[in-house]
Amino acid sequence: MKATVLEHYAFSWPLSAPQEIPRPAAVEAGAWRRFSRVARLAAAAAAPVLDPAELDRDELPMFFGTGLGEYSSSYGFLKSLFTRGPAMASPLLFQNSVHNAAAGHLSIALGLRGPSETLCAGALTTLRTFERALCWLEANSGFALVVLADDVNGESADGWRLGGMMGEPGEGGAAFLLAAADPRAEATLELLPRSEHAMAASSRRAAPFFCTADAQAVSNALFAGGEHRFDYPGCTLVASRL
Amino acid sequence: MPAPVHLAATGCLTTFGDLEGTFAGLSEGAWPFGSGPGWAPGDLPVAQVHADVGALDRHRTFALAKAALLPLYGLDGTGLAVVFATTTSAMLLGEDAIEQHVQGQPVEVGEDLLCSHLAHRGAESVGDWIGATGPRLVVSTACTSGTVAFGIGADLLRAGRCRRVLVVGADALCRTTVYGFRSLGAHTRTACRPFDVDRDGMSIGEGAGFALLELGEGETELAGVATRTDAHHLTAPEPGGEGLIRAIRAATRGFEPGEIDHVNAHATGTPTNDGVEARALAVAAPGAWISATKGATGHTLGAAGVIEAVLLAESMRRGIVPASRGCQNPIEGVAVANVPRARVQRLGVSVNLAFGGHNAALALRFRGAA
Repeated sequence: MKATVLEHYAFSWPLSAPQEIPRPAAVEAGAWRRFSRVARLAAAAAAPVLDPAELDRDELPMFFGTGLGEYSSSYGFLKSLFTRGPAMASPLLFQNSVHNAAAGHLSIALGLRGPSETLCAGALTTLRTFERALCWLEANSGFALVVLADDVNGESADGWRLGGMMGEPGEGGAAFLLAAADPRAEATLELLPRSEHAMAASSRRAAPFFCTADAQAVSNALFAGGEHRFDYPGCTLVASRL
Repeated sequence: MPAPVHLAATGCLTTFGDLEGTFAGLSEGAWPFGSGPGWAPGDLPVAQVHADVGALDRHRTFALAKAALLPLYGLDGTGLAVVFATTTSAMLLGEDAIEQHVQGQPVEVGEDLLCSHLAHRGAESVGDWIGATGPRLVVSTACTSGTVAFGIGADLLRAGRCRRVLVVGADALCRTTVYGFRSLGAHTRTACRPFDVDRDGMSIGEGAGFALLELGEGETELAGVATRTDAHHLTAPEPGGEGLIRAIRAATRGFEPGEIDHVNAHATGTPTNDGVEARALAVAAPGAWISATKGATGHTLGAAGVIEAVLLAESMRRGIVPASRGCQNPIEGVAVANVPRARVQRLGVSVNLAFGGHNAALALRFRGAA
């Protein structure tokens, strides 16, 4: 499966050096205040790649991948429940606690009314989200928006630290505007099968728990030019700049 | 034309037990709602699974999934993909860790519990249990997750990414959702009465369902799956139901609206949802019989789309549109019944709506003997 890449944008930083997430001009300030941190990361990545004027936002599919999901909002909701009691449990945090809250916020703010899917596959989230988008394009052609975001910040990181789950926590966002085949594109993404030997080798690699590290690497590779291969269990993602 | 995909096997586990028990429970049997587990507030009626599933997995959501999947245990997992639909994954145990943490107590739980929020654990747990060697992923679009999972599975098959797909939906009762819907004022304190003029809210349930998808023609084919977004509000549907209408039309592309025989509606029992849905169905599926199964199963959230698709398939196979428990005085124009009705169904649709302004529709075509 193969698609062309029309636009891409990615950013990330370690928890030890957090940065403010810039509000895209396309998102109103009032809406931005209601966004979870994951939604802000996703919007900051997605807005810049949605420039092509011919995109039909009523039909553009969005595939949103997140490894951790809305952990911060879930944590915040439960904290409000456990410390202040059921009567004071926060409905705002609850509605932001579902994994597709970020996709919902993006849909409202950017006027996206097409298909939408929120996908989680742990350390393989970037791969599976691309795989899903490539499957979609093979079946439907047209365009597909891939957005990836994970946040690890403040109190929500305590759980991960306590569990020793994350050696180097970080957060970020990434977005890719794909097309089944577009002559304007200067880059491609392709998913190839791998041999059993390669599967065994790749399954031993240590993977980060946040998905945007992989997405950042793919975006960097597309900027760098040439062909870059990302090996995963069972398949290889090939990012090429034409 | 896309290659045909059919449902080779289906099953579920709800408060009424397996598929046989659940289908019977849609129309009759004991009152499904009770006060729930010990941590649950006593004034909110919820639908709990009574089967003892604890030995299958320490995480109740995954245990429910495995209990539903027991009829498939021993299935050849070679080339089998797992698409797992859930809303809160294994959050029930993760809540214990967070409660201890926010109250300043030592967290007496291990890495497994701290990771219980990670939604992908469901696909991994089921995939390992059944020996699936194909792709594994979780779809988590809240209450539409289960319906969306069918579309992902069908595309994986058609793209040659796997030989078969196991679509699984599961969610257990947990404090996040029970107290969360209570905080929104969406949970009934009396009874779930979908499409009833006096409805006053939803009742959360727990459960799991599965469908084994294979390429090729079969008795029950997946005719289409589609999602569309309202871009209107995070928790309230667009009042005209345009997103749902567009999703149904996309899922039934190639058919006329009048050809839809039966719709298993989302029908949560909240005043807003059911009103919007009734308006949308009048446009997108005029003349169809409507069934609202959450008055029996409760709203099983991420599992709902799978369970309801399985119940729709069973309804088509039996030629019976089930009753809609809890609905005594239906909204005008909604063709629900309080007794089961015999009806041949060639084209059936199951729909779900979710947070995020999300609408999903799935169409099944029955090719078996009526």
